[in-house]
Amino acid sequence: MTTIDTSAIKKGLCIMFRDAPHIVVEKTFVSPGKGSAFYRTKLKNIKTGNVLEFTFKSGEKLEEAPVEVQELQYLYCDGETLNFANPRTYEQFSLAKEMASDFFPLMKEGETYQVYIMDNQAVAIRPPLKVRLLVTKSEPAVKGNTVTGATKEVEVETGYKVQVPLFIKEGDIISINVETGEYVERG
Amino acid sequence: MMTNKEIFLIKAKVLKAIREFFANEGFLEVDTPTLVLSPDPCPFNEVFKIEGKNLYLTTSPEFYIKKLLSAGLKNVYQITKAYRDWQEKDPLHLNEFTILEWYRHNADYFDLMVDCEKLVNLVFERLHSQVQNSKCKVQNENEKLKIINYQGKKINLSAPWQRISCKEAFRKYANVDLDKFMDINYARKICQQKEYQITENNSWEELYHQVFLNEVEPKLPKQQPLILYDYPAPLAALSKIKENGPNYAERFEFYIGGLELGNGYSELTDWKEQEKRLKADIETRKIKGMKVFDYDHEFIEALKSGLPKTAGIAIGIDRLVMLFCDAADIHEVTPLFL
Repeated sequence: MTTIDTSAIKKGLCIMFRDAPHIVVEKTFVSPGKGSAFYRTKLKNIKTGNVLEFTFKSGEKLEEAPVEVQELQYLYCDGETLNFANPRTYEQFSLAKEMASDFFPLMKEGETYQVYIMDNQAVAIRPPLKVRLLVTKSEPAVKGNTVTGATKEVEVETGYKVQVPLFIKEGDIISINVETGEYVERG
Repeated sequence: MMTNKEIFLIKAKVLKAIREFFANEGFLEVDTPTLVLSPDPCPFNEVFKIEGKNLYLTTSPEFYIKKLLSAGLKNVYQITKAYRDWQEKDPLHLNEFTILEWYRHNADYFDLMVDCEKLVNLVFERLHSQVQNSKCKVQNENEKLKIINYQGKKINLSAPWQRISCKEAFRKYANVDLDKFMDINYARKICQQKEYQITENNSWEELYHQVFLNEVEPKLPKQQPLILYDYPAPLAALSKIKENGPNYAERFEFYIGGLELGNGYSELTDWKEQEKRLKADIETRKIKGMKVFDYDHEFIEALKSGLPKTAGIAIGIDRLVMLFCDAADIHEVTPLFL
């Protein structure tokens, strides 16, 4: 089991919390004005699906959950279920779409992702730091029409919409930070 | 999503209404430096240092305004930039933000609470005055009732706002007796019972905030503004300790829709106590490995010459704009900012 510090908490990580494995669904840095740093999290129990909120002091120690990770190919989404296969053994796995939460809009059929497996069931996805996706729709920028001066909105191949610099055009491959959902770089 | 123009229009109206409020109240707008030799050493806010020089960007105009008060100015306010070097990006803080501070002569923190109610209501009225004749009946009803929508919640801004002391809030929401919790050994015991991860190194303040952030703050009512007051003495910052209860300080914060908007005090005017706190802050900075600088001796000299009874408060203008733009993230209302 790996011990990690609160600063290593990130969305998608599977940690032990009060003796049960939990997926980190949300993480925000909190500094209560005249006080020390804290991390506010939303944790989903991967056995029961219950979600709870907990605020950690900066510096608390956590254990990564003893959950197996397999590289699985994402095949397709069928309603509320995501279907995966192990590309070597062809073993099939299914996962409730809600367990992918914020990562789902960035998932591309045919890609390989790390999936947490417990008791031979897929329980959650361990999202990568960033994903590379093709820009499929890009409108010319309208001056003054966006909140951040020098950006515009584009759509990538999964349907996800993201703010990018003005030089990005249809057909470009861009990298998106999974944690923040924001554009990182071209290529 | 709002356009840049809509955001700046709301921000401009907010600032205009604030200036109108203080003009009506007979306050003078002052200007103090943001580039200084000795910023506030508060060990919770890291400062930006100018490379190659012993100069820092201020984390608030407080010390300088108090110098003006010691020199004889009475009711003053300032709208300025303040800078804090946060460890990580989060939805409620900016490294560079707009701060409003005002100081009311011969007043205490209860007087400031009334100022806050009046100020926020005036801002609301000025923002809504132009849509008065318009279309929507519901909107007009909301205006009469001073209701805003923030993040899916209807919030009634009308005064008086609900007030709750820290002691009462801890009892009600966390089932903790804050009087007893003031003792660090008792606080450790309670936190262990509540299954928080506690080590020898945890400060009292960390224990307090772990309970506050997990059990108290999430349960504070959000349908109307809320004033949380009488902070524990270790969190006094620059406020005066209560005369009838040495465990608590005359400090309050107010929340609207769960957003913490302002932090006010009956100001500490005792120079000896102030100097002691500044020295302690610098020692804490050394231990935490933060930037270290000498404290502002001129500020202590000013207090020595006599700071009259005053109450002062800081409000984050960008957060106030968030509220009126219905924004969940402060970066939404500060285009182009880092």
